Amino acid sequence: MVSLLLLVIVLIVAMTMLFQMRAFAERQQSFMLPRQTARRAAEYLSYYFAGASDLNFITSPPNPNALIMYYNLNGVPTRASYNNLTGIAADEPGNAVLAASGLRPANTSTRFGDIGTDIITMVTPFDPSRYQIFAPFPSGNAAADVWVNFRVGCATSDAVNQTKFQEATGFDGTQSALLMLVDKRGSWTYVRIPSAGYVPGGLCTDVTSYKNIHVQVDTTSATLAPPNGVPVLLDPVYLVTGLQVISFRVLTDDVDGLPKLQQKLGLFDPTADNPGTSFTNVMENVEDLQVAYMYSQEAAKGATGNLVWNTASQTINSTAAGCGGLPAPGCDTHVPFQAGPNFGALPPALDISNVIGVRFSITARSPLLSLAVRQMTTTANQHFRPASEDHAVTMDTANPTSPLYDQFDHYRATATLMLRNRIPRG
Amino acid sequence: MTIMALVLVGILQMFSVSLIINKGAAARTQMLFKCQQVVENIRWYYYVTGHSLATPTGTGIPALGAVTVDLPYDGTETDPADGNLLWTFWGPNGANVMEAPNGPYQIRYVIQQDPAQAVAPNVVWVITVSAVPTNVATATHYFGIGTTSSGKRVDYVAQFTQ
Repeated sequence: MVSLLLLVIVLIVAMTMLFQMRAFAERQQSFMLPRQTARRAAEYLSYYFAGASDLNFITSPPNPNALIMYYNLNGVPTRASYNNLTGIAADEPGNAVLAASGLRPANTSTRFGDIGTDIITMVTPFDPSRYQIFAPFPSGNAAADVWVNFRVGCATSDAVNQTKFQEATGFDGTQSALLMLVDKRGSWTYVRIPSAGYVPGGLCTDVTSYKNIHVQVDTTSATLAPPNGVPVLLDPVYLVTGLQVISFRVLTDDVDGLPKLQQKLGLFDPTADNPGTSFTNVMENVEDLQVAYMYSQEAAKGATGNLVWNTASQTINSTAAGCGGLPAPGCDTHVPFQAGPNFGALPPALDISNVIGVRFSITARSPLLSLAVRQMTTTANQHFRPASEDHAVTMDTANPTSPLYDQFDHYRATATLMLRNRIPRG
Repeated sequence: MTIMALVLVGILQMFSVSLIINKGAAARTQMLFKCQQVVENIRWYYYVTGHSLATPTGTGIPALGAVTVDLPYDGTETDPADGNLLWTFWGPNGANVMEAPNGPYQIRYVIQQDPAQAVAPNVVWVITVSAVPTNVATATHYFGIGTTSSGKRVDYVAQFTQ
């Protein structure tokens, strides 16, 4: 009888300890997961940020289109990057707050991304090349004849050379990838070669003028142009290939309700990416992406003397340094102005081309905590999304002095990163 | 019964050890990540000052030379150059290298000139950032790591030109 009693006691103690150990293990897992996710996401983004470049070797500022804030789409300034999404259509044309769907609650996401998060678009070279195109460079029309010094396939035949050129320009059967034209002064514009633009006429035997490839292309870029329009390009002009435009955002999935870091290979397009199907999930349980812009010039300092913008202490707006008198949208969108190559004046101090680094923060969260784990954690410290740069903590509407607590662990990782192609000898 | 008790104790010991090892690895990972961020901020600072572009304030980063600098820890330290709170730049509202005052780690960096590459204009500097668990008894500590910090130091070394 005594032995049986002792056995029961030992079993109860053992089971209690085992359950407690399991809860501890789960607690450790929920503690680590947001940290690992945030650091993984920071690492993933660092790969792209550090190498951001548009292969425009103008000395000041180098790589002016490495980070894209705006572009002209059919003559209309279109935003490619956002600060703290609101879903208010008056501020963000085409955007709206989303209703509940699947496991996603209402009023947490907008059509472009989750409320309060940033969107960033950049250019990274992945197979970079530059080919000279020949004067007289067309002053611009919808089907300008452009000749290119391209001889990759000339050892075999003109036809192979044409095929190699299509490969180099990312031809997908209907059009080329997004390319750029850059002239000797650093003026630049976007260009895309349609299928019908790959025309015959270029000859490998031309070793005098080297007009080896002939394309017809829209050099006025009526559909897609830099902010403030297409500049006049001066000879020599180069066709830059192998560039990849990449956009990042955070959006909560409308089925499983998990916030996810998403990536699109291409320009963010508010008319299509709402939410659209072009973004790919790259990491789940990422709930916030914040980008702060680091400048290098004294003129870019804010009232607090800080050179970093879109932080807890200062956000770009119309009263910021050099923002007065800029053409629309100016600095009212809270992202750096992008003058573009046709601006006709010195870019303002807070122009995106003057940014030499970014400080981006990723906030990640754990999976839903079990009851046992929740009992082991400190609610006040971990169970709400922390403030990150100029994205404040969401407060509880029922108790406005307290953060909006939830049932997740959260962690914010911040990475400061120089844009390597904008800090020569840095 | 005795055997069962021994097995239980053994299991508990294994669990405790694995938990402490896991926590220790997490601490090292966090400290390494913070050290990386220190280097990148210093790289930014010396780029803008070295090219006479601007002078960031409140960083506590001295003029380029052989120096040893402690990052702020309790949130009250000021920049000797301009009197600004260092926490504004290095704290959670800034670079987020230091996440909370009196946190579980302390960071120091040492800058030295690379003697093998000291001829202008190709002067190379070596920065060593070290993070250790805090030795302040009243501070927040990493789980399972005492105030002696033994064996948990993380060094991160980088070179930069100026």
